[in-house]
This record gives sequence, structure tokens and C-alpha cells, in this order.
Amino acid sequence: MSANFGSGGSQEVDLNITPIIDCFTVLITFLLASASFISIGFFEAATPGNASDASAAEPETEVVVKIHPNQSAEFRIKGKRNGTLQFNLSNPESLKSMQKEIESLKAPELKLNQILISAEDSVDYKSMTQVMDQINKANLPLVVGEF
Amino acid sequence: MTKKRRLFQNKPKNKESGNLSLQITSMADIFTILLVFLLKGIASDALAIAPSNGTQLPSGINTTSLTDPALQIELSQKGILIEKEFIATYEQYEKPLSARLEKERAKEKLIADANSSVKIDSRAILLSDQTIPFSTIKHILRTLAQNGYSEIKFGVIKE
Repeated sequence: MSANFGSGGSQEVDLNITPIIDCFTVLITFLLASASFISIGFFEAATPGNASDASAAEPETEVVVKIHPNQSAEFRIKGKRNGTLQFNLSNPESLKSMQKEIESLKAPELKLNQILISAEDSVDYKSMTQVMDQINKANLPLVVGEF
Repeated sequence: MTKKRRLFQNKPKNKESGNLSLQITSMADIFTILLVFLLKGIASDALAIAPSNGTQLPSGINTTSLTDPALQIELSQKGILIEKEFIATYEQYEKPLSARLEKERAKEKLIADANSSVKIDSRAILLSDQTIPFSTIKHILRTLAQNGYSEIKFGVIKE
């Protein structure tokens, strides 16, 4: 590296990068210690009897999803459409059918404004989130609780 | 002169040198790239939410990001933590949990009364280990609802 200081001759300027390496080492050590390498996402849900919904009109279609310990989810549909559907959470084909069914529930004539999710006491959080994941894909509001 | 002798004639002899120069330019390059990567990671995640050691969150695909902070409740394998502070084990958690939630709510009301631009937050973040049963979760959701926390964000690992 050379610098020209006016007419007549140039001077060699050596760049000492040792202090820069020291700074980098400290910074990197700090950032590695404080960094979080897992990314956390969220499923938004409401609890039953949310006061903000008190003035909302009664839904014309009600869907209650009950998760069972045997890795199955039961959809109970009441109102403009009636029926009970069962899906196996450990079967990818069944999950695809569940997704299609959830998409069909978005039809405007059904006037569905939320899906209620419940489970048996022994069902773990992992199974709950599997169902919530599928419902969240359809952008339908969730209410989680005991129904 | 034999062919062999001609081949090895101009080969310089290795001289032993006492100085060993360390080339740190490439190390500076690596450090620069590492630093840029780590700084970018901090910049993109404005709110740092992380479960404690031993809490294994389930994974999810269709998730939303967190934009604003909220009360953080963690259901680890050992017990319940609120804002990273251990509250109680799963054997007897109702009273300590209610008491702590009332305290948090009272704090928020105090701030809201003092500052009209601040509203009482009804959101809570729930980070639960994947093995926690629904029986525990529903009780906690009921307690949260009783204390005014009606919008719950269930945390999962983004896939």
C-alpha cells in the first residue's frame, strides 16, 4: 500500500490488521454466544368467551375439531352443513384430505367465522399444533379450549 | 555432465529460516463474512424469543411472526415459567400462576392509568414442550382467560 504526499516520491504505509482481528474475535465471540439459531413461529388463537366477540353475530356454521389420543382428529360440522369427519394425523393422505375439507369450509355461503379446537386430556401439544398448522394454512381464526 | 546432474544442478538448496510469517489476511476475510452473517441474523429477528434448555417445541409450517412483545409463558418439562422466571411445578400451579398473572395484570393497569396511550394487552405467548398434555394446557388457558389474556400465540419451531 503506498500513499503519495505531494510531488516527489511516495511512502509505503503498512496496514496493521492485527487490532482489527482482535476486534473481530471479540465481536464474533459475543454474537455467537448471544445468537439464536432456531426460528420460532406462532399460531394465533383465542380462548373461549372472548369479550371482544360478544357483539358478533351467531355463526351460521359451527365447526368443532376434537383431537383424540389415537392420532385422529374429528371434525363436527353443524349449521348450514352438517356432518362428522375423521382424519388420521399420522397419514399424509389423510392430512391432505383434511386440508381440502378445511378449504371447503371457507365457502362464503357457510359463513364460518372461526374453528373451535379441543382435545382429550391425554393428547399432547405436538398433536394439537399439527391440527392448528393445517387450519392456519386456510387462514381461519382459531379458538382453543374445552367444548 | 550427466542428465541427472544437469537436472539437479540449478535446484536451490533449502535454507533454514528463523522467521515464520503468519498470513492473517484470509482469516480477516473469514471473520468479516462470519460477522456480517451474525449481524444480519440479529437484525432480522427484532424480538428474541427462545425457550429454555430442555423445552422441545413442536414444529410448524404455516406460522406467523411475532411483531410486538407480549407476556411469555413457558411450559417446560419441569414446570411453568413466566417471563423466564420459574413459578411452579405441574403438581400445584393454580394458585402461584393466578397470583403471578394478577400481578402482571395489575402492573399493566398501573401503566395504562398513568399513560393513556398505553392500552392493556390481552395477548400472551405460550411456549410449550411438545409432550405437555392438553389437560394442563386447557387449565392454563382458562387461568389466562380469567386474568384477561384472551389472545394466545402458540409458539412452534418454524420449518
